[in-house]
Amino acid sequence: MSELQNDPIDNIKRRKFLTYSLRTLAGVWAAALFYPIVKYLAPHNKEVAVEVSEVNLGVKELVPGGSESFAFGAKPAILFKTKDGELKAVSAVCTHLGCTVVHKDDLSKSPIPSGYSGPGFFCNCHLGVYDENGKNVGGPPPAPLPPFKVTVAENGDVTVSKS
Amino acid sequence: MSDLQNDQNSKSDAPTGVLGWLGERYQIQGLIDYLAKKEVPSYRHSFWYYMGGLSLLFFMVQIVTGILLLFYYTPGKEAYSSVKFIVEKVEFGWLIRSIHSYAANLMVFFVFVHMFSVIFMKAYRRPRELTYITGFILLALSMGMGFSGYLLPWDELAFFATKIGMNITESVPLIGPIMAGMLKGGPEVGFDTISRFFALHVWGIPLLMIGVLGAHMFFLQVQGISEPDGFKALPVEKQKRVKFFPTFMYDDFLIWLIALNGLIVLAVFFPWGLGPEANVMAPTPEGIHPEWYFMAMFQILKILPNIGPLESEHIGNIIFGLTGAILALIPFWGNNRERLVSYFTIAVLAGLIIFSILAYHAVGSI
Repeated sequence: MSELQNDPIDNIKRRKFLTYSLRTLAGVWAAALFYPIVKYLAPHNKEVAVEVSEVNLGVKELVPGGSESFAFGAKPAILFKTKDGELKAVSAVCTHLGCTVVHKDDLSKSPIPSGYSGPGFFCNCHLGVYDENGKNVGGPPPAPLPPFKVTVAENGDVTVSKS
Repeated sequence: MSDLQNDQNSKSDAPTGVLGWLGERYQIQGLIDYLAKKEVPSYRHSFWYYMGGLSLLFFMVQIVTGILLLFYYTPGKEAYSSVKFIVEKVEFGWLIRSIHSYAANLMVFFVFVHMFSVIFMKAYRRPRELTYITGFILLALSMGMGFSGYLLPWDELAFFATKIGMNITESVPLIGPIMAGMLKGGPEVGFDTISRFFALHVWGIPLLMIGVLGAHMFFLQVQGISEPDGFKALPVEKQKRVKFFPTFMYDDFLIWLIALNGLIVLAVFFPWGLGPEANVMAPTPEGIHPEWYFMAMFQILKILPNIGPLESEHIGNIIFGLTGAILALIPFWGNNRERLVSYFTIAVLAGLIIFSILAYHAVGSI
């Protein structure tokens, strides 16, 4: 026993072993403390219980060029009528940084000249421009606004669903 | 016998009253001697020494007015109506809230001025690296206070500013989505987000700030204030110094008094507004923009292009993150890089000012 203790190399080995063991133990202990906190802070989906795939908007009377916003699940969307009288809908969440876009009759007056004029969507946050099909045509947005499928029943009921 | 003599001697020299009572129990004489000896250089750039103190003043104003607002404010669903109640119904509620909003802005402003003056006076150099680093952390925490506090009234501006901030956080690779989720508390910015920001705004960040501030001021006390090269180059007989206590402290208090009066004039004559309540489905209103200290970033986010697989916000993250990291590590750039540090800082400052002006111009304010 005393021989073992006096051997400096053995002593260093033992000390190293103990140090590493202690450090590992401390790491495990910290992780065990940390884990419940991370789980506790994880987001909860209590406000949106189910994923929405279809929204019934009832009868909608829109003039050509007119628009109306509605909620598709927890996210804003826009229903609009083109100049040709076609009823369409797109997500209103800007693909840049998530602000809510507006439908405009004429986008030629947008503060950043995008070369695009005519009807479409505009984001007031960082001046993103989309055409009426939701395609990103100016400013920072990296992707188009996702379109929805619009069906009008015989009684005029408008239903918007994921396309 | 000799003990008795010693005792009598020390009694005749020692302070009486409260200080004497404390002195009999604790060794405060050292502290008093230290304060009496402490000196601050007095020359043409001494003015900048007051910027840190001013930041501290506004921090204290924030604690006092923040506690007062807590008496009425409710996070969650009633956030907007409780702020409306404070502003419209509670006597002088508008004043307290107005002071809190202005002091927040002034605090961030003076922290910025303090940082830039410290960089230009080269006070970040060895041995004061940690004073600089803790100061930089305090700047980041101050901006965190501004961002978290901005959401709490739950008006239109607050909602969209937070939404943008959360989307930028989300675009950070790997940890971004987890962080954003923890901050939002749900899939979208909503009432759950208010509760979380509230917890951070009134407890989390302030506690951190008080800790880091303690370290910052401790380092300052231990090492004394930095004497710039310009001062050290003066002939010894021209190196004027004033006693910290009481001369410099009285000057500090005088400046605090002026600043407090200015703050109250601002808060009374230009009361801070409250926008319409946030509506998560409504389109973003025209002319929306964040507080001035985020304006340059806001403008840069508008004009950054999407390059290949990198979306503009990723490029923004890289630019803002790198600039912040480079600024934070200024004390470790290496010897004889002081000129480079100054040029870099001038470039950052110029960029901030130019992009902020462009941003205000774009939203039609100037």
